[in-house]
Amino acid sequence: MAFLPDESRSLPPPPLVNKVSVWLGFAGWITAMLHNSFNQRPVIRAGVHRQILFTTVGWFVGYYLAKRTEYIYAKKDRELLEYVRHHPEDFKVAG
Amino acid sequence: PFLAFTRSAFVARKPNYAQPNWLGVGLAFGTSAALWAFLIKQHNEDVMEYERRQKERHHKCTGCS
Repeated sequence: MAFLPDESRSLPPPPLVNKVSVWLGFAGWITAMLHNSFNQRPVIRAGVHRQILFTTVGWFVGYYLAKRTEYIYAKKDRELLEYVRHHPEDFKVAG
Repeated sequence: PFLAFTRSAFVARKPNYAQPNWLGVGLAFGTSAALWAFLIKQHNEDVMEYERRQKERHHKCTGCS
């Protein structure tokens, strides 16, 4: 399957600030700071351009991963509800 | 042996930490700016495409008169 099939565009897109982007952006920032500490540089004040770049890459990748996540969940929901619709006898309400 | 006469295009240098690596800084900021611009453009296109499809779907349901 393609990373983002065409029908995924029928779903509402995730906001620019979404959980996955924030987390991966944060992870990118931590990576840059860790890189600083491994090279015995001041952790926050050094390589700000690197911190910004790593955070950006994390945010960017996070957005597309969030989109794919939403699509996979929506597809599962659709398949689940289709099954329930086609097998009403298995889903009778009690009583 | 023949290998003794090969030349490499690369030169080994000691990194100079006294001055900022302006090329690296420029590339990093440039790439970040490009990525953000692309991401924001992509998001706006996604929103427009979603709204366009919503309109299309509702138009089909109610039917043309």
